[in-house]
Amino acid sequence: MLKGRDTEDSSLGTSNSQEKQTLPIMQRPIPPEIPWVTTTNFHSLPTPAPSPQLFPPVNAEGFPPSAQEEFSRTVRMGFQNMDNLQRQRLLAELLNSCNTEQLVFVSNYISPRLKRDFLKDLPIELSLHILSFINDPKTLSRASSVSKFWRSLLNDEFTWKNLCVRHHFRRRSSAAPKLPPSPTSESPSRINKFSYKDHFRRRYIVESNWKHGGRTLVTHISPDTGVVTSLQMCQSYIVVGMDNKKIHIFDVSDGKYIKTLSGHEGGVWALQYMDEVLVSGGCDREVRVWDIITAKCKHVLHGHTSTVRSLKMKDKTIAVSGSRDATLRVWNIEEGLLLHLLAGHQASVRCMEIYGDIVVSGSYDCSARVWDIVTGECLHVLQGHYSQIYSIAFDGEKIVTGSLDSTARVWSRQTGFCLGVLQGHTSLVGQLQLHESILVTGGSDGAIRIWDLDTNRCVQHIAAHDNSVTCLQFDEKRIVSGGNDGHVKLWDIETGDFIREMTSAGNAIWRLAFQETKAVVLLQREGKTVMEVLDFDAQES
Amino acid sequence: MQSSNTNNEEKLAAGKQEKDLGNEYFKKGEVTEALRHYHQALLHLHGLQNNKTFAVFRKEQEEEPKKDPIQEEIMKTTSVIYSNIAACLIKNQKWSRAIDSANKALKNDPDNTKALFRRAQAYINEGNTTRAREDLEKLSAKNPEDAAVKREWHNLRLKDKEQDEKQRRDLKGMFERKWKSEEKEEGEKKSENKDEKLTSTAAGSSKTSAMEPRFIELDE
Amino acid sequence: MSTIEQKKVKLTSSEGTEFQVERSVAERSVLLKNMLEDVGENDMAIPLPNVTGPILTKVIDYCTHHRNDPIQNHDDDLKKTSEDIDDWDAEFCKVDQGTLFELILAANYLDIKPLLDLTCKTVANMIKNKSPEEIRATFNITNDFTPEEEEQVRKENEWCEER
Repeated sequence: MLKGRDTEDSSLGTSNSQEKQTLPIMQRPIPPEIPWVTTTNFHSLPTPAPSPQLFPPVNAEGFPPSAQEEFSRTVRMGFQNMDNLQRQRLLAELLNSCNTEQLVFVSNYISPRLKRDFLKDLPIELSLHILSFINDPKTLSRASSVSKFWRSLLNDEFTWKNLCVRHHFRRRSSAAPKLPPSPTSESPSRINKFSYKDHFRRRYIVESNWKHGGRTLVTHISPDTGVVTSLQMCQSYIVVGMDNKKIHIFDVSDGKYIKTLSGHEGGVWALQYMDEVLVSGGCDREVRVWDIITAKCKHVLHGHTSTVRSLKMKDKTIAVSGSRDATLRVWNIEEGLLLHLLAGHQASVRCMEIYGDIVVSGSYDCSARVWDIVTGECLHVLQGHYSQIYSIAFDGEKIVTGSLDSTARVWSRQTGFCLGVLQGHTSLVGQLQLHESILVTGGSDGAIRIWDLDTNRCVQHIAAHDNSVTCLQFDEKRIVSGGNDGHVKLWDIETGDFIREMTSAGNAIWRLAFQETKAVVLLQREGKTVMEVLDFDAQES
Repeated sequence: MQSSNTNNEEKLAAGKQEKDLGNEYFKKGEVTEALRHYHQALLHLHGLQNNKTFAVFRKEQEEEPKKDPIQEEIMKTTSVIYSNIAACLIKNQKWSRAIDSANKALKNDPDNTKALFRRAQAYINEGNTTRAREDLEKLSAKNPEDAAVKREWHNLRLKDKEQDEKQRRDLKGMFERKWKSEEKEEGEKKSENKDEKLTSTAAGSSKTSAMEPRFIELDE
Repeated sequence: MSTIEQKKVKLTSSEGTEFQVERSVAERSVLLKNMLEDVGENDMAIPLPNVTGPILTKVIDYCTHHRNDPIQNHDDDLKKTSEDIDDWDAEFCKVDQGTLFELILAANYLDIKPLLDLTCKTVANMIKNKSPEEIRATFNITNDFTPEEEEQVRKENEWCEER
């Protein structure tokens, strides 16, 4: 702790005699003041480096320079030969004879010396441990401007990896689909040499762009006034299904229009794509399989006797469609064959979700069903809702259904039992998304609720929109919601706080979707159908 | 605790002395006495490590950190002590503590093969066959012909079997019909894996001569 | 606190001062806990050559106050930030930097994770929300950058200012 400890041992025997010699000298008058040094000067003095001469020779009366030098040396030697206790006693005596001004001098002189450059002096493991408690990048980057050593320490990946974890900046986000390799963003060498600091930097910029930056990449205003029924954004395309029979395809990277798939004879009400395969269905009761690259329709699948209202792909070979005719159909979309007809629902199949070989469907008959895609067998009938089911989510274990009875229910896929009834909404629960134990629901009451499925409790209640919540999506950082009130709002998923509006308001929001650095919103504004693509990526200067 | 090197040198010497005493007791079979001295050794050495290479993720190494021989020896010695403590704890059948000690040994010296071996032993006994397998694979890669490692592979398989049987008993009745077919498949998969492993280790064997179970010995 | 008289454990600091503490207090130190667990209790004092008396006094203060705390779960680590320090702990850390420095080393040496976290958090809080100049003043650090280097570092870090 104190420097003295290391040398306090030896030569005690001789020190006593010396001490006795030096002490009387100490009682000589010391000049009360060092004329050219004022205390104010010391405040502004830069860090005093240890100087060999504590007090430079001073020409005070009755004290010739040489004699004073001699005296200083004697004192220093005497002091060095004392043990710790003796030194303390001597220092105390000296300090007791100081006036306030001198004490201030001493205090100013000493205080920098009692400071430690912790990060430099500690073992590096402990220095990094200290830094691990700092989770704001501003402090960390300022710290790296302190000195060369601090800078090298703050370039350490450990700190930035830690920060990435704390800020939920995963290396590969599993919630959002992977971005296509864009030619500008990363050169191959940078991918090989992954740096958490760079990663953090980019994600941090993206994050702050989400909060108060970003730009509108492109705005498409449709000449017609079609209603947007379906939207998917992932991989390379933004695909939009309309009730005017059209499917429009846009490029994710720049938001530019690519092509339109025409062929449906009625409004398109459900679609999904994987890679270059797109499946769609609608009012014409047909399921169509498209090749996005060639824009050709590969198969037209007949069978449903009413509107196809929901549609999901298991992979590029199998898809399941649900219809107002109360059935689901399992298709081989490569061959264009019907594999199974899943009958059992008593009314329109409104929504469905696939995980592995299981498809779950929600119906206007107030029940949901669990089906085995391979065998076509109905495994469970989930009964409990008092009114139509409009929305469903499924993660392989848990099934969540949202209903017009203003509740959501959680079910076990394994047993078919109802695990919980989530009450709180005052109207239809039309939107839900499930990720791990977090469920977010949006209702026609304009509210968004965040639920913890470990306890089945509502952890946040957000009065989000003046009218129905028409669409929502969340990831580990945020919720984006759109409403019939024409607003798109961004929320902090942790706190439920409102962050900002994402677009200028319209008449109604049809659909929205987002991924790491992009968001797409389809809305009606001034009577027209508008698509806005927003970009939050870091702009490399 | 000033990190003056002479100070550290003295502590290193004191620590080594205690460690040697511990080794003597261990050889005589007096595990508790051995442990006492190993812990005494740690009282001298623990906390002195300042591993400049700790920053494994460091991106741009301006210059290779200077190697301080005293530091290196402190780390190595500390690793050996923890590894030997792990050996004692295995004798005392304290598996989780043994794993803990082996982890500390490996933290101070990632190349401490004996510590790795002891951790594998402890994992097997504790029933964590997944982790045990990982460790044994690393060991087999280093010493393909080592008899002790082979013996632990054998122990691991016994443990696997034991756990399978327990699980089977637990699940019996619940999914009896379904289970049987899956079980057969899994059994087949497993034997495939095993074969692969054996051939791969055989292929990997270079000039390393066959060894007697050397891991039971202590590091000096 | 238990009324049962606990067996005392003797500890000796680097300069030879002997301390007596209850076993539950000593066991806050994982280093000592493991030792006591492995070799049993003993009348012999345990030498702690890497801690001085004054620092050991502080450490014992801390361990005595926290003797009944539940064992910290490592999984919670990431959730904790440097803000959550309770009053007693904050008061405990009001020491000069030299002492704080030694406390960090002692906590690391004795393997007392909560004390290590507390002291490291305290230092982290001394760094937070300060300009480089203020950090230098806080820890008496000399700016050893050339003006060119300083400009380069400033550019490197532009991205997280003003956001």
